[in-house]
Amino acid sequence: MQAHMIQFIMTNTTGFENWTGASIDSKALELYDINGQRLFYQFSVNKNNNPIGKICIGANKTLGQSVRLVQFDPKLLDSAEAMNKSIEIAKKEYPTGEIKSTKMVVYDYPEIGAMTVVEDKTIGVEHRIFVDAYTLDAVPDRPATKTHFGVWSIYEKISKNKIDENLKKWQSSDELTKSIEQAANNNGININLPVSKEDIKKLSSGTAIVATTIEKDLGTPTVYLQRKTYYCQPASAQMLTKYYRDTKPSQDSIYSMMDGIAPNGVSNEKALIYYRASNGLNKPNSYNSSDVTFNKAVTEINNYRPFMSGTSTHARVCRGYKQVDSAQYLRICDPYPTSLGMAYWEALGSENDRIYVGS
Amino acid sequence: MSKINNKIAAFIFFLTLALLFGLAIKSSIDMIKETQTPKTAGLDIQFENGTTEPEVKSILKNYNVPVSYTIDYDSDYMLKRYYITIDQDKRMDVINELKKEKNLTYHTEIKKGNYSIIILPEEFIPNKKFLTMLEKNNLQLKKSINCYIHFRDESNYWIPEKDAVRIKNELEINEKVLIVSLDNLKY
Repeated sequence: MQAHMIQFIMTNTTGFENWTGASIDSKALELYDINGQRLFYQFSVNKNNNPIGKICIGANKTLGQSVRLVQFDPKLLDSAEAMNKSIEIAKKEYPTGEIKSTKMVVYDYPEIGAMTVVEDKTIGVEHRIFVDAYTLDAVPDRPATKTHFGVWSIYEKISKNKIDENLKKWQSSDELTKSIEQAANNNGININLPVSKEDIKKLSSGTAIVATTIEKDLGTPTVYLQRKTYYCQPASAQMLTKYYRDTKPSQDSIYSMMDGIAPNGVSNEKALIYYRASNGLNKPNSYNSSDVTFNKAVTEINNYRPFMSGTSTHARVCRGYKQVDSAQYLRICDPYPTSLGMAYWEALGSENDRIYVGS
Repeated sequence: MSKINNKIAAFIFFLTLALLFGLAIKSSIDMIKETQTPKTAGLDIQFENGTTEPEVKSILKNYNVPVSYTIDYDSDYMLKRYYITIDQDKRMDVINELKKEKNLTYHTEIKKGNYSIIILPEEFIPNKKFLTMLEKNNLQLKKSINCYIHFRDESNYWIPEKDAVRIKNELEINEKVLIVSLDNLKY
């Protein structure tokens, strides 16, 4: 596990400047997919006994490279409280039901919450109760026999033709961490203890990965949090407006220009109205795209063009990329309040679409 | 007697408060359910080159779209994509040649019956060498037609994602349709 963190430190990854000397809590929080499969192990990273971030490792090789997400916010989850709340709601909504399980899940990537499965014995149907781990708000779902509402399964989104590619990526990242462990062993460094600057220097000279790393983080935009639960598109557009035009229109005014109808979110097609309008972002050649490849992100960032990076339900901004060996990451500015305003590194593969900002 | 009445009044008061509190929680949960339900506001459909607007209308009529919709024919919402249609038995040879000629690291392949459609990246610009290679293999480079379908009726401007996924899956079987992308509301 420590080797994953070391690879980011020794390749001078933006955001890891103060991580030298940090250690990883060996006790991970197990996170499940809403389909019940184990998904991530979330490790807390501490320095001088204070949490400084979190690293999520994939629990299954079919997800691709092992490091899935690195967050720089130190806020720790109170999983017990979220689980208790979901049990409480389950008991309240289905007083005659039998609670089958309660797990911590990634219900709407990267959002985490508790999921309680309760069986209504009178009609023999299972219900899932979701509670967000940060806000402790109830998150929607419908009976498990129906299509998910408000939650989605990462495993179900992995297309069959991506599995072979993902297995190769996992293999490659596994080899990378093994090479770091080997280099540490050769240099007499115990990587299970906090690693010093001296150790990092020795490791950097003992492995080839530093030379093969590419990274560019524009450093801006910084994260602006969304002011309403359905304002991810306006907040992302606000970040991009600050970057491209150095102005900061209100999220309310952007939502209005995007033809937003409260309390609904905004589609990319409507968001583009703002991106293209002369009194909006004023980038008339902006366009929506399903090309969510690493190469395309590299092209855009190298040309100093951060872009909207969308999952199937959420808009964020991408302002950077990094490749270590074959492991590929994007630097994401997520307006959702749980990001606490800190851009995170995310393994490539979670996006559904993008809005590229044209001239 | 008056003490008992006071107790009953206090009990009714607290019962009413508890009821109101319960209703507030329920409506708050309903509100979140309403706002976060995956909803699809439109579909972006890439059609085969040469597909006309009446043909698009006619194709869409065959798929049970649950709300009214309007068609933005030849929309500029997404970029048009270059593509090549090839027979299944020749596809590997052609893909290898494509990679060699243009150093293509990314393409999308769609299988339709006994042929495949290779969709080239958005930034792809054909050069003379590439066109010669196509000619040698008796292939034609075409550009897709984009159409955006806006869902809207009196009360809604979206449909549930599960209905959109069904329509997408059905449409993608049609020989005139290349790719269908869902345009979901984002929160």
